[in-house]
Amino acid sequence: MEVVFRSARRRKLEEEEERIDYISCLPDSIIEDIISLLPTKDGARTQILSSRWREIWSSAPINLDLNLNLDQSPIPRYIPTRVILSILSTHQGPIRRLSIPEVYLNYKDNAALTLDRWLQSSTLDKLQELEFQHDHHCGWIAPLPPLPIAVHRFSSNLRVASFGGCSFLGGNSANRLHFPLLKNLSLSNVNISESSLQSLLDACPVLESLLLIGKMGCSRVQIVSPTLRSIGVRPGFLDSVFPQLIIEDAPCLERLHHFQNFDGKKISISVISAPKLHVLGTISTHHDFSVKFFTIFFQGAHFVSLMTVVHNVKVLALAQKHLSLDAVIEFLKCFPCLEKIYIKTKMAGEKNLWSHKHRNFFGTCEIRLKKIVLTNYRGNTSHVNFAKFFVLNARMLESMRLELFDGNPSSAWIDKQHKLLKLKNKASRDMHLDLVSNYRLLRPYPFVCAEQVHDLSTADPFQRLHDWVLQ
Amino acid sequence: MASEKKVVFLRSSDGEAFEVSEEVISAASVTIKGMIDEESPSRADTAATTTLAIPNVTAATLSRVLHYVNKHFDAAAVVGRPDDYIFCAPGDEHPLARFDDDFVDVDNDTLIDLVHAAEYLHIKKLFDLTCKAVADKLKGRTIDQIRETFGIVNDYTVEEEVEVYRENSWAF
Repeated sequence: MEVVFRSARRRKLEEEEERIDYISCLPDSIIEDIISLLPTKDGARTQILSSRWREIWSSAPINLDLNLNLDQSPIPRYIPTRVILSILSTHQGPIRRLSIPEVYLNYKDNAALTLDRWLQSSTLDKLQELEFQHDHHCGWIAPLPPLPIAVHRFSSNLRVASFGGCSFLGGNSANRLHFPLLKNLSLSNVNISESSLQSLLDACPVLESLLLIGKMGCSRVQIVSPTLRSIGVRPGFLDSVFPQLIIEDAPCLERLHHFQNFDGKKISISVISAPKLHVLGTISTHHDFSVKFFTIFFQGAHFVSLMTVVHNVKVLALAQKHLSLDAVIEFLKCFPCLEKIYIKTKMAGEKNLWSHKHRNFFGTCEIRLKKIVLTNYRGNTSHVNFAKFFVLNARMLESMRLELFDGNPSSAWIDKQHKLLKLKNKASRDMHLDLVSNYRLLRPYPFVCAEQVHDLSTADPFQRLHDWVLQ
Repeated sequence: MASEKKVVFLRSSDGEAFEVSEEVISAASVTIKGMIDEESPSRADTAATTTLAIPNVTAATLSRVLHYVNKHFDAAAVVGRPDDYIFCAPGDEHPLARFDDDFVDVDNDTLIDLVHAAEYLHIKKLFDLTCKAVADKLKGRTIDQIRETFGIVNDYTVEEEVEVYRENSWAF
């Protein structure tokens, strides 16, 4: 017995000795690179691993993101101002990214001055990404503060910029700015004139994506850009005017995002020239929303006029308060090459009975849809009729995903749905049906908007949104 | 019949040789491109293929690296070019995104070896990918979990550790 015990213990000791600290074999410069990829708090915590990590952190490039990290348990906490000041003044490595949410820029505390002071720090000399959002009360009580003067000193290095709650009018105007490397730009609740916005776009020769959120201080935004690949717009809650977005000339534009669901604010979007546009959404069926495509004009669920078809759109997202097969078929006629459609609905829906006009549709068109995602599916007659139409008629369909309105259904309910949807008679042999439990967004909406617009690495930006929902 | 495409052999630290297209590896690795360029004048008049010694990388790691390189840098094999990515299977993101996820889904030692190799061979895309994978393994973990996973030796005295904790209490 004793012999066995001893050899087991020896083996354990040997194993411990053999465990090599692989990660610490990496040179400092690589560990610095790894630390710079971590969220701020995770990065700082590595100092406790060992004395070497502490030393490396103090000179590593860091990502100073002051937003609450909701993934962090149990209670997310903001980073105290004294810590931020200490990092800004004493950190030996460069700060590559700085993101300041509005909670740090309270209008009562003279936020403009705070921000300007922070941005003077020499640790920011090599800043590549700058995001800040002034307190949204600013604009109500006093004029918006101007764009911080310090932004000029980063302009030659910035890749990503998000300016929130500041003014581009007055002395420090946009036309003296130049951002030679800027790829992603977000403007949220800013005060900018139509001409200043155009000068700002002209000052960004490699800009790929642009997100406009909330009030813009001008009622018309016209886009002329040889480089933009993605544009997103989220109309403000307080705008009393009917904002207009006109895509005048955007030869590289691939994606046009509009963020609003059922009861959003008014907006009119016109697309005059965007030959590469293939991702479009969300088109809201709200009656105050309109999209014009050359000569196509949707207003709400109704097609005011339909003169021509748009062949390049492949991915479309719709928000329909009342699910309507008729309206969706009209969209299929306008976008005959559509491959993926994402529909979010809310209410019990229209009857969606089929009629002769649907049969006639097949005489002239073919449904090329490969993927349908329907959110808030109820399994009632309206929704079943809608989905069944595509089960029985979409010959190229590969996937139909129904995200349920009600939580966890019984297996009997699912079996019944399979029968009701006539899956046995499906038109596409390869079609796969997924019924997934209810839709719940796990991330704050502004982050979702920003990622959809700025992240061009994924082919289908709506896919990601559905990966984020809880299943 | 001999292929028209030029190939080179890479010999790992443990002596195994791997064949790879010269064009593909030159596009991927700055280090190997440099080696090939240096060799070029002397091999212009001979038909013999070149064998390059890669003394810092083992066969196991080198074969993984070449698998990555062939997927990412062989123009003929890359499916989703930006223009037609929209036509790939529905539900998929960029086809190589899935490949990349699987590629770095390996044990820690293998992953760290890949970081080393990517750095030595100067393959930027692979270096970024593997560093990000290491960062993901550090994210949201407790200190004890990280020390345990990577076998990091805590060299602080109790007092020192308490002090570092105190300074960084905001990060917990």
